[in-house]
Amino acid sequence: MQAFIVRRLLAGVFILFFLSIAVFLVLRVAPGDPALLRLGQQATEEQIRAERQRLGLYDPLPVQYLRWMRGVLTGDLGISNFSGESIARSMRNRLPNTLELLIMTLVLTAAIGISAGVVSAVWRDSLLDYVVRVLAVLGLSVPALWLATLVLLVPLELWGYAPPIGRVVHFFDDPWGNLRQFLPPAVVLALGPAAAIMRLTRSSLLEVLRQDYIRTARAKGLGERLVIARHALRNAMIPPLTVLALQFSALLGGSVIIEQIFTLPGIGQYFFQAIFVKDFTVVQTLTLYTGVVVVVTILVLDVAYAWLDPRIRYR
Amino acid sequence: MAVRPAEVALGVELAVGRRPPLLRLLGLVRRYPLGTLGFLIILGLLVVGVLAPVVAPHDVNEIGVAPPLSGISRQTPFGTDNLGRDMLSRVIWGARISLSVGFIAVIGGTLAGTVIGLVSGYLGGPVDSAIQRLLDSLQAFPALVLLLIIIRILGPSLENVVLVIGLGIIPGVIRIVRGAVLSEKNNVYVEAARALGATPLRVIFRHIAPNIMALAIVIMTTLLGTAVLAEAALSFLGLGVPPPNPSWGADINAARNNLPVHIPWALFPGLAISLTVLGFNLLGDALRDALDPRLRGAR
Amino acid sequence: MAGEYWQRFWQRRLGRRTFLRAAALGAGAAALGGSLACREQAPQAPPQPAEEGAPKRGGRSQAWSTVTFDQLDPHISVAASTAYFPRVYNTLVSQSQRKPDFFYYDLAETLEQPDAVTYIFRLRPGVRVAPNNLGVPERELDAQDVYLNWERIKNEPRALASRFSKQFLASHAAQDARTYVMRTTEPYAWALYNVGLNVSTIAPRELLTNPDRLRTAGAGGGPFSFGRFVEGEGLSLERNPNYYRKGSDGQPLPYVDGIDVRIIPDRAARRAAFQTRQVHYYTAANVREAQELLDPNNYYLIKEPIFSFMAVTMNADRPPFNDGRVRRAVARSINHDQFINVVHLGDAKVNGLVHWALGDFALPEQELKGRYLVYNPQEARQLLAAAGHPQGLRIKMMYPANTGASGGGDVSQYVPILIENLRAGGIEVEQEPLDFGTWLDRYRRRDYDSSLSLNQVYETAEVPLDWHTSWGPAGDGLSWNIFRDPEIDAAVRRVKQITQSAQELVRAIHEVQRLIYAKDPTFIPLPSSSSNTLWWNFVKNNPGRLGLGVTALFLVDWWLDL
Repeated sequence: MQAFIVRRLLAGVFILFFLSIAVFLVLRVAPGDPALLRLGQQATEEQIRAERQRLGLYDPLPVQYLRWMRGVLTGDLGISNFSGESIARSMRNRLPNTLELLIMTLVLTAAIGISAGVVSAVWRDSLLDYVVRVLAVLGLSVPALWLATLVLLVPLELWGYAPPIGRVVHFFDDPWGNLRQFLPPAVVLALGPAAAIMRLTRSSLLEVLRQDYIRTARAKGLGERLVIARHALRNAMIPPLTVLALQFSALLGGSVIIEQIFTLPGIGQYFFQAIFVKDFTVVQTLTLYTGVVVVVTILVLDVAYAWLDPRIRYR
Repeated sequence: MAVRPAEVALGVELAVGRRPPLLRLLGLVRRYPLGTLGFLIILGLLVVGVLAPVVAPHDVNEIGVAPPLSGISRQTPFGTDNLGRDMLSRVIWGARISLSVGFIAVIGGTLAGTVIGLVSGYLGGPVDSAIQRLLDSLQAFPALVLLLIIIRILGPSLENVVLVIGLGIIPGVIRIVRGAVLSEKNNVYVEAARALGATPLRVIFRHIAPNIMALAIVIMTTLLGTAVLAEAALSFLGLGVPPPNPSWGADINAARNNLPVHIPWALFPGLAISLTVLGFNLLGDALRDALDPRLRGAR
Repeated sequence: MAGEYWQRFWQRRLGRRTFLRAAALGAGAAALGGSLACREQAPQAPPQPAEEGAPKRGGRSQAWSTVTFDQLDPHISVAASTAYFPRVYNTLVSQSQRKPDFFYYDLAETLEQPDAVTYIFRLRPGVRVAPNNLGVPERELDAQDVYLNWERIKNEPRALASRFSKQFLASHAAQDARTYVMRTTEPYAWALYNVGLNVSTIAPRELLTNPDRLRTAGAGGGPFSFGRFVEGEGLSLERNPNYYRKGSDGQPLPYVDGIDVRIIPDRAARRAAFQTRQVHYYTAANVREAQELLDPNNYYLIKEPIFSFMAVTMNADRPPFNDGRVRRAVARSINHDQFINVVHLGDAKVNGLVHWALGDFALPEQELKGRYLVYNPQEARQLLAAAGHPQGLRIKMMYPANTGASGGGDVSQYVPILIENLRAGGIEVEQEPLDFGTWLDRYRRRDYDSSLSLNQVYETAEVPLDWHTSWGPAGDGLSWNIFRDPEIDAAVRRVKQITQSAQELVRAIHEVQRLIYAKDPTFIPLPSSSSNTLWWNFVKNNPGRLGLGVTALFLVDWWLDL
């Protein structure tokens, strides 16, 4: 088991290393001058050169890379090229917002997706099943950006209502305001993944229900509900939960647009704005950061799998 | 033991006997009503897209067809945008753009991914490991961010959007195909082929590939929906197909500046996207159910 | 967001829109300004709140910014932050560029100009620093503060005002505690303007010794001080109880307790925030949106000219644009009226080389429409034929494709019209939509044939004229656009030296424009409109109504009737 974990850790480190080089190079290949983007049209050639110097852009690439990596590895996340603000501090401000959004989304996804999937599987081929499946396909088809726009603006038009915009309402200050701010975007963001989870749960549960040991349980005279709850669900949950964990990375991408529409100052927006102004340090560091999160998630999953199923360890 | 699609088809044929094609078709429709609906939707959109020059009532960039931001009328059933361009024409041409981007990106990406997945899965060993590590690295990147960065390098153009979306779907395809190859590898017919002296290339492409075909088709159909959504998202962020191409995503975004002064402008492209993706999803579901029961549990 | 970054980028240090949005009330500009032919003491009479009732104290103004703040250093910060420096710090004197007769005397009480290069400022007593926890005593600002601030501007390469100081600041000194003298290297028409910039404000000298603190906090002699600052989220300003100006009730201004600024990059979200009172004003996308939103029971509308404009730029160093006839053909193919009607829904005016927002400095509209901005595609074709292109011409035009992501200054609105226009004149356009960063790079390096883009906010006629010179708008002879004509160069240089009379300046600027038009300019501004901002009724005595432009930011005479 230990060897397995070590191997996986090494693989993770290698992946992150490769990721860091990739993002570093990609950013520098991209056209666009961060100094110019920051200083604007009135800047003289001299000022632009001074700015580039300040950003360290005249140093050879390996030097720039090492400087960045050294900072990251010693815990100094550096400062944003654009604002001069410490990246760590920005992250501390923004991360809770994105986390709250993502956690709410995941909870909603799991709650809606899994329960709908169970319902649909248990009452298979009934009207309820049919309705749920149609809703699921719709949920997969509707673009989140469009729905989010409607969710924001239709209540405004009809009832003159809008959620808190621009200022983050913290949960402990005003729970209801906080929910009003974060629930709508979470719901919109959750619809697609919930639909996918629902389908996965349904098919997984159906698969499990066909198994022999379920027949045995039924034959033993256990009530159907007990059969499902105690025996079927536990095994059926594995694929959906796996996918749920993996959706974290996908959600981070989706959050860029949702944060934009609902004006939530989170990591997604931070990423996007940094890409736009070619804020190298921010984009690099954030990429690495998300990479770490994803790699760790996968690692935990792999270890969990290996622990559950010993065959995997020796592959 | 896995059942191959070819056997299923044969079995169906034998069971049903040689019925006239029309009755067979009706039978399919009856068994897969939603799938048929999806197919019809896609077919309709394809027809509209291909015939766009004929079907669209106005030139897509013609300014001032009606007053800007006018509502639904007989002349402009979908209203007009802020330059007075006819939204119906823009939605119709948008179908062309979205569908062509979708199809080219997905077919290209699926082909590339399938080939790599086949080779990687079959060969195994260091090649396979290396490719897997590469894929894992890519997966650690939020997809949208990756697309954004690449588009910024390549610049906004129709070709680049296709390229970027195509590249984006390759990792997923490789994963699935590789998984399927790994399980196929142990089948009897593979051993038999090898025993007969077939080269690896021949084994891959002559024997394994046809059995992966059904899988590939199902993947493609679902990915088409994803591609359309991706194109909309990119255009929404201003990094998709550049003007003057009428893109659904770009129109939704432009309309948001005027919402709710003029909801139809944003409503119809959004509905169009939903309808398209719905069609692909329904079709994909039905194909999956029909072609490979094994896949029911996989997605 | 991305698209609004465009605004941010161009509003860099003079973020007009953001300024004006944060401005509040004020009637009776004349009382404040006085007529200032000799530029002496201006009476600081309080504005007349007449119909608005008696001022109420308390409440917090809710404002927004479309872009995040980079930092709060008054000399280095760009974009959004610059809108708030007049609120926290002081400038010596600010001259309105909309109404050049209006001078706002802030830290300076009087100004003497014994000759064309000398400016003697006598400082106002009683300009007291706000309470703060930055270690700055609540003392009066003096000439030593002024001197040290300008020293910093001089020596800090990143200071935005250093462009002025490097070229024109010959010497400066604090002659005594209340007298500060500045001498320019040569007579410079816009010296006072540069002194009065948002990025030329005076901060207490204690803050200058540790500039790192300035990044996230600040306090000075202005009506507010910086409070809470959360990167990406917003900024708060708190009332300065020591502020020297008094309200009509005899107590220090401002009437409000503070200003909260939120960062809302998305237009739809801003609109939603406005309609639910989360912010107190909203700038509509166009006049139609403003009219549809306008509910006289709740809002009032303030229109202000926009100081930026879309322009077509041609690179005179590359064929075919090195031929004046081709440039004129392009000019004749542009139908300015169509842009006004379609893009701006009729609510716009044509722009000459100096845009109409600059009031008297622009050429009269009849002259522009009758002589220089004529739409005549047949003449265009004839010109092309004479220049050796009888079959018409094919040109490449680049533009930034992704600034429209969040609306505002959307190039994509202009492109279809321009393509159609030019085609009528026999010119086929090969479009080159580029990523913004790429486009900006190439535009700056003059690696383009022609370009269509939104230009920066130009508060004075200086840079619009520089576009047609051999030193160009950046002054380095290399960037953006260079037009080599010694006659134009000489004329523009002469303009820059006119300091004594506003009328003379206006006349000279008109003459230069006519001269440039005679040479077939490479830089053609397209029509621009006014901004339409809706305000909630309870924001009373709004200085934005005075039409002063950015200078209104220094006025804090508004109150909230909540």
